[in-house]
Amino acid sequence: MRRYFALIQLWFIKALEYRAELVVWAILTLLNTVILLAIWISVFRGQTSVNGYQVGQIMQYFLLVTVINGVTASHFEGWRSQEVREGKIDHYLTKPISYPLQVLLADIGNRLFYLTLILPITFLVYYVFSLSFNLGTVAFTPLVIAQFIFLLGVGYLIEFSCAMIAVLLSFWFEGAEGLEHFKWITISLFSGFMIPLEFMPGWLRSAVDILPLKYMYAIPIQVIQQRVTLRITDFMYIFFFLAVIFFFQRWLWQKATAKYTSSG
Amino acid sequence: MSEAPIISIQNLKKYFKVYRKKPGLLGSIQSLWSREYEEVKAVDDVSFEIYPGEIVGFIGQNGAGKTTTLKVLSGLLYPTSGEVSVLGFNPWDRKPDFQRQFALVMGQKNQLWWDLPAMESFLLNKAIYEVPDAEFDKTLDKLVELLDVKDIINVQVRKLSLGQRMKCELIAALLHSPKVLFLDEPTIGLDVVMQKVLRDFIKAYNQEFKATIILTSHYMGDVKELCKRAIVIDHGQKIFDGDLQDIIDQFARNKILSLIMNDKINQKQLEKYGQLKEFEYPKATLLVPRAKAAKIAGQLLTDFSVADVNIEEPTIDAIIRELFLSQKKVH
Repeated sequence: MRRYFALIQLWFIKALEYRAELVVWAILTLLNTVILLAIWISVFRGQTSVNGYQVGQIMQYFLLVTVINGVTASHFEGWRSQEVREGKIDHYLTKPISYPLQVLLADIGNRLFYLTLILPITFLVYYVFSLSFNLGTVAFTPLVIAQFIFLLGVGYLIEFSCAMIAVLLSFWFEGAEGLEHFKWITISLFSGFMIPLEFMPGWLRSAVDILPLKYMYAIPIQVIQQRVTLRITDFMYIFFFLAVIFFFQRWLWQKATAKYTSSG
Repeated sequence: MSEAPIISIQNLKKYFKVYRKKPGLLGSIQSLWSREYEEVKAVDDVSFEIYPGEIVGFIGQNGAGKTTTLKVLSGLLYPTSGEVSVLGFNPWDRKPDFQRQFALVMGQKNQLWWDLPAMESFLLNKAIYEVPDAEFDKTLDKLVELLDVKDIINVQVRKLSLGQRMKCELIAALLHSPKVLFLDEPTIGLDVVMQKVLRDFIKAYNQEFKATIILTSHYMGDVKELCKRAIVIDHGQKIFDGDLQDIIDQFARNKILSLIMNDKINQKQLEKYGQLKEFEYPKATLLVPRAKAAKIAGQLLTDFSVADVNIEEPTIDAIIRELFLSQKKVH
């Protein structure tokens, strides 16, 4: 266990080395959140409620999107694929921890770092906006918290698995940049990241209802806002989907190791 | 040898499919629907065995298959065919028990974290290889002392010179005290002083830890100083495996006769004794057949007034060069 913790910790330490990047990310997060909230305030001007949301609830929604994004959004496929292409993963492959697990631990280190950066900024924005708007209160019952944390884990595993699949495919393809954009656009459109499900046109909503991506943003926020609670069918669907992508990754990894050419 | 080999390779083949792109825009457009692939035989039917504690030099030109062989031995590449055993394991099974017992150091690829001090990478390896605290402290102190890097292990790796980085790479690779060490061009790009430091270190490490080492290098100095045994590989095939001295006996056709003359003589007078390589009175250098070297030296002493005569073996670099040139003619 100590070796896993050491890997997570080193990626955290590495992230702390880039002080300028830290400031840029903090400003970006602040700017992004404030502008997003300002846009939605403008949309709600003159209206008390749109599609079942009051202005405070929609602001709460996007503040939660920022937090969830900080926890779950893995974006390593571009540079990791380049490493595969250039044969720079040799040292990972000779270590007594499997490569996918090293990638996972590294990403957890990165996620923890960004979460510590994003959380205080989000709370600051929440506090400032709550002075002028009723952002509502959230009833953090044990059931709600448990469901929310479970869904954060699910969201992370979906994001990570999709990124990892893109990296593994780069053992065959020349790059994963296209796959990274595909992942980002798909998740943005079908998860509730861009807009709440209630604002989507009927055909898009139908697609979202079928896909598991809604468990990444829309459903955890609805759980917090106590609009929904998870049913047994949700759990079954989630576990089935996670099992499918887990075994697909394992299968890809087995094929990829045989395919690796260790260029350079 | 009575001991069992620690590394055994039987009929190893590793072929790659390489895409040959036609040049220019037209070639790029054509490649969208039709690509030409060529099979490259990086390693072609190579067999050898290495015994515990040996340092073996793996010699070959660029693209000969040295690094590919090391990559197969360390489990990075799956072979096309053949049998490989390292420490009793199939390397490409990548079993953690196997990975804890060897290290691969590549002169052209880093394992150190670029933006962090080398010490952070050492601590990470300590955790990954589960090295106990006391053992880690002892090994690190010893390696730091041997390589004289006490002052630099807390400096960001990117701020270090190539030689300093290579020293730290070696430490990172050796912290778990591997039984088998694959060194791929560890002295590449280093100045002669640093090359000597690393050679001395590798020799000391082999003696102290009884580690088995395979070393690939373009610098014959590395091989000459460290390895009793050499394996020469060319175009993916083994062309020699044995003592370095045997390479000289087997492939050095000539000896070098260096003369210092007392009297002025004509260049043409010397040419009948052998191949005149240099002539600048009073010095002359002749290449003569090995078997006749002593006899020709005697004749020269009789026929001319010679102040000094010296019979030398050609340098190992020259012999290897000659060996590769002769192989080139075959291919």
